[in-house]
Amino acid sequence: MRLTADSIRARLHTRIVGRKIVCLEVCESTNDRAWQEALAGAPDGTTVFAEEQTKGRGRFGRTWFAPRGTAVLCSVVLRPQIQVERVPLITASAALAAAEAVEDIAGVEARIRFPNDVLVGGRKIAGILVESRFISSQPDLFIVGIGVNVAFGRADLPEDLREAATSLAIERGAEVSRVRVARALLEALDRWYREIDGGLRAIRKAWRERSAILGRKVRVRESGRTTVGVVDEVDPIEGLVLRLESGHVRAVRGEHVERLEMLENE
Amino acid sequence: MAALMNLDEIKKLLELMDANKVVELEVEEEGKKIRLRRADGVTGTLSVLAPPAPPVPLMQVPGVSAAASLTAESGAAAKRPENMAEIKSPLVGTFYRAPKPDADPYVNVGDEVGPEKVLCIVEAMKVMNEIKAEMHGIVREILVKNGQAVEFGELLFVIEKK
Repeated sequence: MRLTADSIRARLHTRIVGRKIVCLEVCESTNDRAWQEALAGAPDGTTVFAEEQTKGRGRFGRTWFAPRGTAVLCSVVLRPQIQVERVPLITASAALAAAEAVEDIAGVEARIRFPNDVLVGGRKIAGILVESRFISSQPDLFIVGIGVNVAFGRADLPEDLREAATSLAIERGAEVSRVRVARALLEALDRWYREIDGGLRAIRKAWRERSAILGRKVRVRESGRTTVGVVDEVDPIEGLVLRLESGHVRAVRGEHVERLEMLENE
Repeated sequence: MAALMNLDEIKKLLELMDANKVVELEVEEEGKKIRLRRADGVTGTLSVLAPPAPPVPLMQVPGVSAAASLTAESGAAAKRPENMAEIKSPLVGTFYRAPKPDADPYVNVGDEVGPEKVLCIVEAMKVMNEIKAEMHGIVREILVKNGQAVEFGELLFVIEKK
């Protein structure tokens, strides 16, 4: 069934997110459409859904696998009044929201692979891509793109994604209503978004508890330099603390992580 | 902490931070790291690397070229002609010159740009922030390498205004 603004709003309990809802059949990318809405003055929390994206983007031009009607694809306009140091909390709150929505719907544990992938059983089920605009060095506008894999089965996946991706239907072992997913996602984002200003402790705690990388061996690239270590600490603002093989401990700012790969623990 | 540096050295660093309006400072020595941060103002960083590096090899102060050191260069950067505009990073992040790894850079030195022209992306935890020229002009300097970590207020481009 198609997502409609009325069906999502029917039992939606949010204060900010989803205040305005736009549902499209097809668009190039929901982020682009959300930018248009935002630049035309759309309120904080405006959300654009699409059944299909023809140019849905992952990071750096990577494409996002989502055949028509199999995913919940949305972009949310956020206009928080925050200091620049808190910008990473936007990604964190969106990832936490997606993880909670996944757990709520599929009843399986969801974890966050720093900083923006939501995993179930090590396979990617949701992803976040945020775009922002600053005015006079102040964060002004964020477009939070979220994709949640909902309705495809293992056999629908291209071979190269079968081990890497999963969906709510696969994990739940039953059909899943996309309207329910959309609602759960907006409600969770609404809660976490409202924590950004005052609830730093709650975000930090959840970020740590949901981390897929805490205690895991990872390879991190920052500024052209690669470091291998075990993740000793994760924090949405402070970044990562890595324990290196030499026994040294190294702090890496989250904003400086260019790439993070999980390695097999020895 | 005592093994890292003594109180006098920390005091000296604090004075240096104050004199140069630096509000945050990280010192790393043999894998140990301390961070000093003043509560006010904008952020700059001062990195002090462990020996054999000289005590203060690199300094970034808002308004001064990122590449400038505490020596004569910083004076030179401050004397930039008025028609030369500086584009600085509004956030801590990673600097990218192109939309994807194999694509052409958004701009090269000598390119003519307009206000809406994207110059680069600064990414922080998957928050992609496109930096636009916000003026008509010609790109005269690109001060940061692709994939390099950048700090708040770090100088990225110099544009000759038209």
